[in-house]
Amino acid sequence: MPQTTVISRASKAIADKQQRIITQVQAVLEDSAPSCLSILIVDDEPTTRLLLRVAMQKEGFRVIEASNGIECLRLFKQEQPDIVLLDAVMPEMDGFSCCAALQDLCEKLSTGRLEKVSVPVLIITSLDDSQSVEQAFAAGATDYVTKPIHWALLCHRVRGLRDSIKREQAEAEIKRSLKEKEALLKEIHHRVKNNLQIICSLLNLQSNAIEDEKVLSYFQDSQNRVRLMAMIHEKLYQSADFGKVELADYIRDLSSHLLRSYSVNQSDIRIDTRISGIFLEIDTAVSCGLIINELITNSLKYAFPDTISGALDSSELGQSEINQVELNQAELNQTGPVRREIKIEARLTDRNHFSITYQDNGVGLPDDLDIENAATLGLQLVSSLTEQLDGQLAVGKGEKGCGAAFVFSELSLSN
Amino acid sequence: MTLNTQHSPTLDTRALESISTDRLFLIEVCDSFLADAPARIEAVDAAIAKGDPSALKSTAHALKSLSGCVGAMGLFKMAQRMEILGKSDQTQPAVPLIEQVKHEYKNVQAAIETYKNA
Repeated sequence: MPQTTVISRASKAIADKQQRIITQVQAVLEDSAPSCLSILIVDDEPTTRLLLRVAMQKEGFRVIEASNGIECLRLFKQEQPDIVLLDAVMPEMDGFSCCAALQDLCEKLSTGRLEKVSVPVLIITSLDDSQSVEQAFAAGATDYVTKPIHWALLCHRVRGLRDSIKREQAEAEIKRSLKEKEALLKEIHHRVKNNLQIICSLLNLQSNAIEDEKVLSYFQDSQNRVRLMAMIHEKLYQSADFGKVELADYIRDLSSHLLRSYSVNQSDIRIDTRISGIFLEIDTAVSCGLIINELITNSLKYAFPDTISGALDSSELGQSEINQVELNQAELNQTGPVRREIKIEARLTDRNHFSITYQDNGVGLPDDLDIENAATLGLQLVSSLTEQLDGQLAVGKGEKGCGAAFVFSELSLSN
Repeated sequence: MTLNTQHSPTLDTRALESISTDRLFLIEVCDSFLADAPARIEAVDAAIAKGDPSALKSTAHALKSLSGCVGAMGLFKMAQRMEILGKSDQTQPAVPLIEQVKHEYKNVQAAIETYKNA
């Protein structure tokens, strides 16, 4: 089917793009070459700043320096560094209050933004002061190192922070790309649906010129088949993951559309669906939808001959008149008239398979019906689509020996 | 009471050299230390003279940080002790320590000169 080809091509293009991004991100993560992340060093001691600057430059950071807390906050606003390295003990504003102020600042900068602003803060504190470690975390610090600085340890911590920043950036990029993919898929399903609807309309317009009832009914059938495919695309772009169609919902829409299409009053024929928790991929959904479409059409046309206005040629499918008599007898045996009913049940049989039972309580199928070699397109479709889904089909009488039943078993959930 | 700094080296530049062994960098750090240390020591001295424990705490902390930069571990230990004294609201016991600091600084100065010319 051309529209599924378009979608699978688009999906492939998107998947390729995602793979490229992932490869790029991995390359960046593995690359030992200088990265372009920036680090803000805050220490009142010029000699310490010199040491920190050289150490961080060696790690590949762009270094920004501040000699006190106030300058730190100003430079943070101005430069938005990726990491802050903060001395705990400084005159005026100490490292802890500066760290807390940085967190507040991030909060303020986050308002009105989609992604939250946050910055990892590494506090440099004295070894002899266990209290200040707790104080550092309380102020919102990400980690700490002690003075005198163990340089290998500091570099290790900073590298850890850098990697997690890169990972976050990569995640954000992948999320963005996923959003793009979703928007694109939605757009494609929308367009495919629109095009299919145009085909429906064209068939409809063309039917206006048709006088032959039989030809007209072929056009109507074709319209319904195209319409059900449009419906799948509509469901797909309305669904959360764009990949799966919920069968119950889809069959309900499909059946009420068919009733309308054949001008059947909903109170004349009840369509009872018992389906839960079956989600189908687009190809399976199209096949499954066509099967149900043909069966409902068949029932509406032939099982309840007096329901549809405008007599249809019942010899086409050949629901026999003998069965009509049986139905009348069944009606007689009950108190009150029998409610015309179509029952569609579907359930998962195992992880990869599902079954559908379709029944109507109409006049029943002709005894000599050979489903494998059916003469009509409708039943030919049912038979070949069942094969396409690797399933088996049994045809017979419905409950209490009346009507028609189609039992599909071992249908594959995916190709 | 002075501090026994027998096990604390006057100048241990190993930590410093783990950042970079670039001579220009090492000399820059040494010079930066020599430029700042006298003022730091004077500030501690003034805090003790005033009998101001809070000032002693912060000035001793600053001296401690600076000493740690070059690996002047003896100086670091003395400053650390004085910072603790300031924290516990004392200044008097720091009087012999500041004298020890001044003496130790001369040792560090000499060691740095030797290191720079090595």
